[in-house]
Amino acid sequence: MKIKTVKYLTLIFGFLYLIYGIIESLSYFGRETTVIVSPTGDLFVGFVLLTISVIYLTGFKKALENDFKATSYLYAGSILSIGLAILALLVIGADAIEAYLLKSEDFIGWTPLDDVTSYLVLGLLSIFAYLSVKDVSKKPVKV
Amino acid sequence: MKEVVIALIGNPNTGKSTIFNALTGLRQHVGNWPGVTVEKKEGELDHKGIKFRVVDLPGVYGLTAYSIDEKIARNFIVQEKPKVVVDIIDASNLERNLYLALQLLEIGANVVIALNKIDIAEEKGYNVNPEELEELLGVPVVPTIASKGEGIDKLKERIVKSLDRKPPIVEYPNFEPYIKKLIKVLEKDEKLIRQYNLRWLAIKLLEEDNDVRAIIEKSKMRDDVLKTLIDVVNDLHKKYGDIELALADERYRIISEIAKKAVTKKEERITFTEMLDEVFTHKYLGIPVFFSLMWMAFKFTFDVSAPFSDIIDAFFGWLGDAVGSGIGNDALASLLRDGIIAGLGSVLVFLPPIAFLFLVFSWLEDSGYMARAAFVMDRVMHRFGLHGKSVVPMIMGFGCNVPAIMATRTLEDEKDRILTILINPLMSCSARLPVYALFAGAFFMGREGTVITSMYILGILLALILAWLVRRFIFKGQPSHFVMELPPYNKPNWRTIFGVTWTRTEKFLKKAGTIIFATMIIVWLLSVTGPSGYLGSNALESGELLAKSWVATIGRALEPIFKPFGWDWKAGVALFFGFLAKEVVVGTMGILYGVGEESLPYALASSSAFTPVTAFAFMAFVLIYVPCVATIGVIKQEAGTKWALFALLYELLLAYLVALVIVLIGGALL
Amino acid sequence: MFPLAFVGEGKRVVLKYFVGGHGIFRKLVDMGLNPGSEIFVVRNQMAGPLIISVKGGQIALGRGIAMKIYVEVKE
Ligand SMILES: Nc1nc2c(ncn2[C@@H]2O[C@H](COP(=O)(O)OP(=O)(O)OP(=O)(O)O)[C@@H](O)[C@H]2O)c(=O)[nH]1
Ligand SMILES: [Mg+2]
Repeated sequence: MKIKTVKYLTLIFGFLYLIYGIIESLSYFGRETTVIVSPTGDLFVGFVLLTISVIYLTGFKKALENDFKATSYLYAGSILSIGLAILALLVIGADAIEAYLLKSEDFIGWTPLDDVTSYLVLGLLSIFAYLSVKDVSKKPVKV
Repeated sequence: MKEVVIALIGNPNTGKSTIFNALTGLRQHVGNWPGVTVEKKEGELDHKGIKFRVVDLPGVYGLTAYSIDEKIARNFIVQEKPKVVVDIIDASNLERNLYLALQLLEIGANVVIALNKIDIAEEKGYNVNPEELEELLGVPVVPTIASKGEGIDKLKERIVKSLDRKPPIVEYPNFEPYIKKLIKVLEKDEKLIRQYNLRWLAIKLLEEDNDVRAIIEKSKMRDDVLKTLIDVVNDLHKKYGDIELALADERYRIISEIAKKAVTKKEERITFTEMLDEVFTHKYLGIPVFFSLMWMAFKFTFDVSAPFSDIIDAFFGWLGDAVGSGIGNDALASLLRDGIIAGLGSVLVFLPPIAFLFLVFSWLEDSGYMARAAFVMDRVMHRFGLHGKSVVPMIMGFGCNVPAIMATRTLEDEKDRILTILINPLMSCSARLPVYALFAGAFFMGREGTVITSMYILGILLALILAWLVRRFIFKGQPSHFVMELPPYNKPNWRTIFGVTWTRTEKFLKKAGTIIFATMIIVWLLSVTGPSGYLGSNALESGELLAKSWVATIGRALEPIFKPFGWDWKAGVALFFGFLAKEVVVGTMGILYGVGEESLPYALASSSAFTPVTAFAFMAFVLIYVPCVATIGVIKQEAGTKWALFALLYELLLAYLVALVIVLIGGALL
Repeated sequence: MFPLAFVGEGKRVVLKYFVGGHGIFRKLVDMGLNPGSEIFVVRNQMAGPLIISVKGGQIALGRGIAMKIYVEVKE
């Protein structure tokens, strides 16, 4: 794997997470902005997204310095991102049980799309980042 | 037939409990951080017609008996003299692990080595040759991958074969003459010969071991031994300086010779552990990552478990109705419907979030992240007079305070340990969750998440403040040094994770079936009877009748205490019974409000007994006031009666104070 | 010779001696940190604890104790 790939990936994901981290944080304070998906209004979501963003961006900085440790940031960032996405999928599953199986009052008219959150989408995208580093232990980065 | 005792020993986190579970079929706690087992645990194994008593010991690095868990391990080997000592060695960390093996051989233990975690060694690029190792050490070596159950049968076989083996003697060339000299004197006391391995006594005397010194003090040869010891020590000191270090050096030299022959290292690789640690232990990123993971853990606990709670909820609702209408006898129907089903139901609805909480924390423990949490939080903890390792019991406290308090045993320093024990009840355990969920649902619709989180944060803050105060005024000084091994990260080991989750959930179910169940019946009984006799099941529906019951009598007696908070007497009764187990608070409310768990939030919200402010104060009170009986019991066991009483008192006072502050501030603001 | 706490990340050093009390060092020696052993500093962020690698295992060490472990750069 090339350090250039690391550079691009960390930059792209760092920015995506930064943007959505800001959107989520603002939405908690009442400024709802919808870019493709609507924000959750949960301050913690904003916090977690910004944390991941900083991880990716630190990796970008290291990649610029031609430091092989940059891959570590890409790897850890993508693991956390995917973890979040899995969490989001589990929540969709739980809500689907409520809506379709139990037919709970609170879930009348619920569709899976209601639960599509920024961190689900970004997490799924992060699979690409993960795939690029998953074999790095066997094929170290060339700097 | 007599049982044959075999002991499992090894460095922390090498897989002793995993092997123990595989041998005995039991389910001891397994986790990927050093210090999971802090007490010896026993189990049985039948193999080839022989009955074994297998003992799982706490992990130790050496046999110097420094902390409680090390003492337990060493005393067992020295005093109980197990027939076979299985030393579980982490193959990916061979040299350090062999240090303990040598010390076991010094004691004269009949050692069989389980060369565990060979998969991790492989991943790290090591290749350990078991035959070579067996040859060099002179003891049986069995390669295993305990987490997958590989090599266990072979291990059993070798244990049986080794029952009457004579263990080899390890020689320390630089020290032999001196050891022999000491043995010559020690020999003259037959009592010592019968009880101990003299070689070991001699070596330990050279190391200035306190316990062995105490043994010698009682010997009839005391004076001679000490005289010889002074001579020998003087000689050695001139030659090598610090004798203990010189001995350690000698051991490590022998080990390094062995390792050179038995281990081949393939190319150096960057491991996933190194990559994750680069980020998770980062100076600035470490703490945000820690909080992110905690948030994810709680999000999973609450959001994903919700539908399962609804299912249980519906079931108990249906059961209550069915039973209530199906039975003619008023007292019996009421006992079943209003007492058992309503009471137990309101507790069991919380089975899913509690089980999910256990699941996610078992996973965190298995992942290897716990040790990193201790690492990143050390700086923060230090500021409040706590030790980095205090973080592990604190996180475990979110599950249950009892095992969490036991886990403090890995802290060597007594002050650190007691301090960590004292603040632990403030870590909000799973039993308090039902109360928060109930009140947040009733009074803070739409903001449940924030309100419940605030309870956890309040607990943590109070714990930190308390720690700071205790450190300032009682345990003056600094926390002791932070030393902790960081195990590699694990891919989820589902068998272990579900095993641990189930044992913990089972405990909750048992508690529901015994103490909670019994309390519910008592509360029901005291509600439908009064000084005037049986009041009838209507008591639970009519306030007037209930006012004549025994619970009302208790409640009124407690009322003056809770007057400043504006709670009614029912709340007082719930808190009173909640002393036994905090889940009971919700169950009691369920009975006293005469409704099933389903409508309890609505009943509470419409009862005018609470306002949002007083409800919040109530939640805080439940968070802080006396931990359950079991927690007080374990504090007494681990820290002594004095500290148990201290914990009890400070918690009551603090709860009162905090609730009062909330009511006053809330009242002023709204 | 200088304290381990001052060694930068990615450096390899050799443990020389401990200064101060006995008790805690006994444990360090049991964990593989005996004088003469080779230490690789994995993490040292000049604040908070360090992570070192010794004999193939990783150990977190408080800054306080790392100040009492004297090391020498490996040639
Ligand atoms: N990869 C791998 N992991 C293992 C193996 N054996 C055990 N483990 C894991 O290692 C971790 C530690 O296992 P435990 O059985 O709790 O270790 P222990 O020696 O009892 O630890 P303490 O009680 O803390 O001294 C767990 O996460 C196990 O799942 C193995 O052979 N290979
Ligand atoms: Mg164990």
